[in-house]
Amino acid sequence: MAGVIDLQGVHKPAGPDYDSLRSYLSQLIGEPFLFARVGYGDELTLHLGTPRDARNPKLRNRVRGSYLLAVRGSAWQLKSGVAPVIVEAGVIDPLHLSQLYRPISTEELERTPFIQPGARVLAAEPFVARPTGGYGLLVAFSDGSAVLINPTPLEHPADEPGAPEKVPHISDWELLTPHARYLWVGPGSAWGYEPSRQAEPPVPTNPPKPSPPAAKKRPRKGGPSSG
Amino acid sequence: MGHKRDITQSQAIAEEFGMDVETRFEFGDYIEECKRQGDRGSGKRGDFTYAELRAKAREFLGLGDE
Repeated sequence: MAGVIDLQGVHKPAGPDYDSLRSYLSQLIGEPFLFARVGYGDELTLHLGTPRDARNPKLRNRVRGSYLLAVRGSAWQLKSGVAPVIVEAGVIDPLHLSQLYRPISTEELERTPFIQPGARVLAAEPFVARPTGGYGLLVAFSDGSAVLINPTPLEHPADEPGAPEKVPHISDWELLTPHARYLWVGPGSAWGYEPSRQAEPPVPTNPPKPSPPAAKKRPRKGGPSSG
Repeated sequence: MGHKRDITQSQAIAEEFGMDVETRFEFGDYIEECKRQGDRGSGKRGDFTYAELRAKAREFLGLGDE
């Protein structure tokens, strides 16, 4: 049986649903890798698809991908298809690998094409990760590179003056799409596919019909909503 | 691996200022860009405190000083 997945639809969180999550992730397949960037809090982001300009004028000349995969605070591992190396953060305990492990700077991580630019996504597969029970993600590229995202338990930030008492929701990882939707996953097995932009006034699909000439009638109180 | 404390704080600021998800991503890029250009916070590794992040959010959104 054939079917269609509406990438501009919305999926509200409703507990574990592996198959639907996998279906939404399949929109990544075939998209070219552009570059990796390290954001605030040392968050790794992979940019894929088509280069786009930022919306905010303060970020002029700062390009991003039409797809943006953000690992948030999760551990991750990148097996390069370009060079015989594995780059990782949080998956392996470096204390047990002191002979093999070399720290890498943010600049080197962004500058070195561990994934060949233009390499296409061949697979984007979620999996149930231990020990959180949340969903991890494995992305395979056509150059032989692979990226693994493995959720880690949530840490509560230290109290700081002025900070809100309520800890905000932090996903294990997120995928921003060019369809004005984003996929958020975790913590735990919760996930959703929801609008990534604030709602704009609806644009009429058909031009409004011209109003008929106003008929003379007695005025009503309260306007049109008064019933 | 990302520092969840910093990510949590920038998320809280984004929610406080009503940023949508795309704006929140751009705000993260903006504060990281500020750090790289030498406009560093008073926290460890040049990270911003919550109050400094609030000021950065106002700057980013063009809201002016409080």
